[in-house]
Amino acid sequence: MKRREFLKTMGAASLFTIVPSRVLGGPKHVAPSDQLTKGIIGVGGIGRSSYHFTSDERCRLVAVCDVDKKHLEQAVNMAKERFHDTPVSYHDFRDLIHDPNVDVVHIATPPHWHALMSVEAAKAGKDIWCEKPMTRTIGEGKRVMEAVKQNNRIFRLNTWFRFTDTFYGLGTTVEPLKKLVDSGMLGWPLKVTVSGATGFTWKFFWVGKENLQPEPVPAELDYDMWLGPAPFKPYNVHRTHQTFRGYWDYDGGGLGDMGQHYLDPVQYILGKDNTSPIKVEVDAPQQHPDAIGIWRKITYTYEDGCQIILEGEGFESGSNVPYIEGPKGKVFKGFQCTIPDVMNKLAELPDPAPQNTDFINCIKTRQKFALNEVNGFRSATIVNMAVCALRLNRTLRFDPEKLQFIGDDAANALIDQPMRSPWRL
Amino acid sequence: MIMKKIQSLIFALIIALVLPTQAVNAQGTRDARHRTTATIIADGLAQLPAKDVTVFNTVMNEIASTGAAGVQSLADMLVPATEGKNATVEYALAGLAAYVTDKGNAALRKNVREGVKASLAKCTDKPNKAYLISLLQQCGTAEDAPVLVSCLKDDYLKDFAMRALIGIPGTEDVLLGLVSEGADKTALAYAVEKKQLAAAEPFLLLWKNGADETQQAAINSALAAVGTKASLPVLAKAAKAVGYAGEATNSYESYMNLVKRLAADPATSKLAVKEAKSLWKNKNLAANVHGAAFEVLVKALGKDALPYLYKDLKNPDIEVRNAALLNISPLADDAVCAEIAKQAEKAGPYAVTDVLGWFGARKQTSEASWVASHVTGEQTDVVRQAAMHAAGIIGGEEALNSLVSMLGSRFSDDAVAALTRFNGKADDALVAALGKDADVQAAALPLIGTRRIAAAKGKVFELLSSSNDVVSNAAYAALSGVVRPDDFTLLADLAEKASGDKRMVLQNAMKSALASLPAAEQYKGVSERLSKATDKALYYPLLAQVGNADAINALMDSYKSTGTDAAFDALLKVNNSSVIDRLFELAAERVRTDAALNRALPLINAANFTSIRKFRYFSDAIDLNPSASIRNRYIEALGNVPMPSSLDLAVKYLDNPDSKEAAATAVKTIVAKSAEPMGGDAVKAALVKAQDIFRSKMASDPDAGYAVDEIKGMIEKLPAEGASLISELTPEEKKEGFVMLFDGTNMDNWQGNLDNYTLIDGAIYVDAAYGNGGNLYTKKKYSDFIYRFEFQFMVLGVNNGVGIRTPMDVDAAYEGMEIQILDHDAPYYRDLREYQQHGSVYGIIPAKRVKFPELGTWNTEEIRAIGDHITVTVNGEVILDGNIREACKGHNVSPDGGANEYTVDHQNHPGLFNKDGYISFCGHGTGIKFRNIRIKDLSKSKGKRK
Repeated sequence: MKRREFLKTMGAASLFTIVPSRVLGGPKHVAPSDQLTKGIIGVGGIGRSSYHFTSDERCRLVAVCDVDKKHLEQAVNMAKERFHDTPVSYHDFRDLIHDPNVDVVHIATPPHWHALMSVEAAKAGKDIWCEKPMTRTIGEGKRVMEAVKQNNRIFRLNTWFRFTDTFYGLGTTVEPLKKLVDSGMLGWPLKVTVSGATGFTWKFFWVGKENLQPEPVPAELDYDMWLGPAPFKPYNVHRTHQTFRGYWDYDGGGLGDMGQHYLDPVQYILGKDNTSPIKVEVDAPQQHPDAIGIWRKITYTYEDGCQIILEGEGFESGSNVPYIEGPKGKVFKGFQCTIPDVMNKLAELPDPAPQNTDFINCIKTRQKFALNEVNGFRSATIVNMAVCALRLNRTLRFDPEKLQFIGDDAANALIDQPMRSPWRL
Repeated sequence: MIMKKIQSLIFALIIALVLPTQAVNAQGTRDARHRTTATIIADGLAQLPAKDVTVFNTVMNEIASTGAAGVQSLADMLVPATEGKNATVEYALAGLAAYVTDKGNAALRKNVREGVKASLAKCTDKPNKAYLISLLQQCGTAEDAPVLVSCLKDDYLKDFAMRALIGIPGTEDVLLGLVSEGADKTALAYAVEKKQLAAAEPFLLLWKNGADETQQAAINSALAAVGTKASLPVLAKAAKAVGYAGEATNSYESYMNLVKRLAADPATSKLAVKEAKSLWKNKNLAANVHGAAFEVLVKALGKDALPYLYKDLKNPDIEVRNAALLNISPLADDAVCAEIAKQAEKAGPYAVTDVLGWFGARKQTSEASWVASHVTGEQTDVVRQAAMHAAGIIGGEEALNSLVSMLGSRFSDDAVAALTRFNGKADDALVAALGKDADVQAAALPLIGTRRIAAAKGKVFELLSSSNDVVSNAAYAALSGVVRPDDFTLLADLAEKASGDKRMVLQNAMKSALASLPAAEQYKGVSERLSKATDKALYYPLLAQVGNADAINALMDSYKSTGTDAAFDALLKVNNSSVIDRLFELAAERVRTDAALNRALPLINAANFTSIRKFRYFSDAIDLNPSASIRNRYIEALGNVPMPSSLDLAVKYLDNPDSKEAAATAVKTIVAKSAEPMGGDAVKAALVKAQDIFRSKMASDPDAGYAVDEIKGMIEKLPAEGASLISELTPEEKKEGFVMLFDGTNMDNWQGNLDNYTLIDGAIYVDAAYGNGGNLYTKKKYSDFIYRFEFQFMVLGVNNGVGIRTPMDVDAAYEGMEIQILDHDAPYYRDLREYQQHGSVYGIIPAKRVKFPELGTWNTEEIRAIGDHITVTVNGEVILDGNIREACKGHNVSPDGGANEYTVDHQNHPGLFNKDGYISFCGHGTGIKFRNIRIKDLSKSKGKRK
């Protein structure tokens, strides 16, 4: 029996390893069959950062992949140093995905690759950890959702503020906000302002450069494979490593970078995990067709009147703007709330339903991860709707069921963009 | 700088434009403003990138309206990318392509399409051609297909052209034609898939013979998307050949997708279901394939697929069981769920565990009692834990009772976790649990506390004296959650007798008991006890919670008289901006400078103070010489108040080894956020220094690299000069004999309250509290004059005034004259009298009501005082023009010295007719700035004027 099959067949038995050792009464011991394995695709920035480049008794790093030889070499050396282990290195992500020793595929590439790799991994029966933003178009996100479902995979979209950590500059975790909103004390509908004034910076330094001049491709980089499904454009170093976020072909600027971090929790707080806004309005200078620029304000409206306002460059409200505003109350940065004695009132209510936040445990028990391909798709869609509106410089209306813009073919063409041959989803 | 660059680029473009567009001009194409096409385009380009949607729509409409020839002339301006100057033209072209796809602008679409095509025909640069094709992809129609087809022959362009053909609606026939020719199989198969070209199936099937892996993958995918049953055996064979694995030819996935598609069509459903069944039965297949087959069965057979599920529940592979459950979810009504529960019992504990998890995730209330039955009784540990988790989510009476029954057991922690988030009220059951044995009581008490179950209060007080220490301690800890204001006295009685941990727990309980009351009532309760208490420190934390002025004073007094840490610590806990000044007092005493300043910072940041006031706190804090870490926090905070003074202060620390990183962060933020653009050599030098600091940090901190890039961008855009802080007379004013009283550089012409009227960033900033510290006066006296100045309200409702012909240190409104300065739009001035409005001669002549612009905007004002004639002009509008003697019929004081029926405020104004006096600012509070103050003294020429 192959290692992987052994693990799966004994899946149920392995449940015992997740119960506290006091229940088992035995010493803490992990049998090799309980240890999952992972491979990381994209070991440039995020893929080599400490939270992601891990190898431990629950999940061992066995493979790495990159189209930049230098990155690959650095990653292997890092694994040797840190884990005293030598992962297999791959140039082509398909080889990593189809490596029978890999259980979990960790996708840490630029966003234009996320959908292709997720679908490929799902087809190969692998579980998936995908970095935010989930995909760079709404159509690609839909495709990931389908493939994950069809192949019954566990998918983790990686941003975490809906379940842990202080939510950037907001000065609180998300859970009490969720509780407050669910309690109805603020009334309905709600308006959420995501702004420098409420603790969120939109990182406008992630802008692209116009007038890029062609440069020779460095020897270590397979540029054709780096571009993959993206349209061919002559190489310039600014397109790639570290600065790719400034180009529509690969990402969505500061909005693409931070949007899902900032908006996924808002979607959770508002209880919109299964729907999308019906309208997006943008106030921005005209965008260049290649290089992403800045914007001033983006306004989303849901069918029930809830709104999300993103305040960008030069458009920040004063520090007295509430993070969430409802007809009956407001809550500000640091959980300052207009409702008297709010903490005690909230304490009388049950905490929000528990979330499955242990990815390895989810894989073993086959329970959906708290932030998965379905709600992750929805929060990526919030970001991607605005990307379309910015590129066309107009207000767009959206059908959250059909996942299409209403009465705007050009906007729908941005939802489903044909890929560069031979790439296909 | 940037502007200049764009202008020179535009100029070059206009030159370039003149030649190719002569033909257009010759045709006489001119718009309503008689501009030629070349001018329209040049005007348009000068406005790009459009700063907002209005400009965008105007410019795009104008350019698109110049017709195909105009658009072509624009597109012809593209030059090879190596020259690096296409950006503005690209903005224009991309803007046009987007603009004409908006429904309302459809009439102009043809102009853009034709113009782009004409330019494409002429263009020789491949990347530019590719770009023009991408424009057609966005705004083209089927009519453009032939041009695109011709581009398929070019290796560089073919991918762009094919994507455009796919993107443009209505190109199906053209694509089918290409399929029949079969040139680029991979690309065409992809087109077949995307455009759903069913008629292509026979060709695809033919192509499969001899196709390489890449072609196979595209062909298989296309067959999955459009194929009929004719494709089924072909894909079935291919999938089998690769062992139903994901691999390069995409055979398995294509096969599964085709089966799925055919199953959804009644005509082929039977056939497809047969395939799915045989896959499902194949024991050698991976779980994801097995699950996908089951998905097809569920969709095609509905509830008839349930027996397959029941079998899957017996499968030893956890993935198979859970995949089956997820796939059945849409069909799982209450009856189905009941049957699944039954089948799971038959299948064994693993299946039960999975079903419990599944019920929990879908909040299956109809199965609450089945779930509850697995919380109690004989279970494996795994089943019980899964049941407890699900019971908490599902809620209901049975779930609640089952969970409560586990309190105090070996699974107490799991029960507490489930009850903490229990879906519904758990009060009665938890109160009842307090009547059980000690283990249950000890487990239930924390839940009583955190969920604030007031109904348990009596029992909690009772358990304080439990003989079991664990229970007693838990009861103390739970007090906070159950007590209310009327328990305060009892708690205080207990607390005054307690010591150690119990004293602290009771202290917290007292805080909690009072928390729902308004501060003043809390204070009353606390101060009554405090005055009689011997252990006064017991109440300090309560005073900190009260946090109003009385409480702060009481704490401050206690600290001064006792010097204890307890009082000091309590002051650190006060959450009210009025404690900030006290914290600074404490910091200045240098006992615990760091602690006081550390606490003050978040309060300052959160307070609704003007930026100048905040700056002063930051600057004072740094002057108090705290440790480097606290100083650095204050230096970074300068970034919250982006103004020149903040920059000056931050720059001083760029060379300080302990503070340079904080200073660099502050410098970057201040320059980036400053409302009035900063510029000039000094600012640039500061940025360069900051950039160097970030650069040296890059190795250890990846974010530092972003900061380096960000500063680079800032330096590129930095204006040669920033906004000037120095005011100057206009040439006219110079000629007329005005002199500067305040030009932003010094306070030389002023006397009086120089503590609360201070020079900051080129303005006089006022932070005089009402009735405190006195007013600001000119050094000279004036009788007749024209007085001009600018003022800015920084906070709502600011009140100040210009005293004229007034002696020093008296109320100018009566002992001289006061021209009112007031942000009268603040809502709390609703009942304001007219003679109190801004610009009025206070109490004598009302001014016309001014509508002020937003807070933070500079206003201009002129006060003309010539004899009895007063004129006030604000923002260019005369709002008062009257004679003070006439206004009160000569009776500035009533004949009998009592109420004055001649003045509008019925007051006596003995100084109204003063011949001369000082000019003053009469502060009533903080939050106003003055600048650019000048005067023309008419005293000497008075005779001549009359």
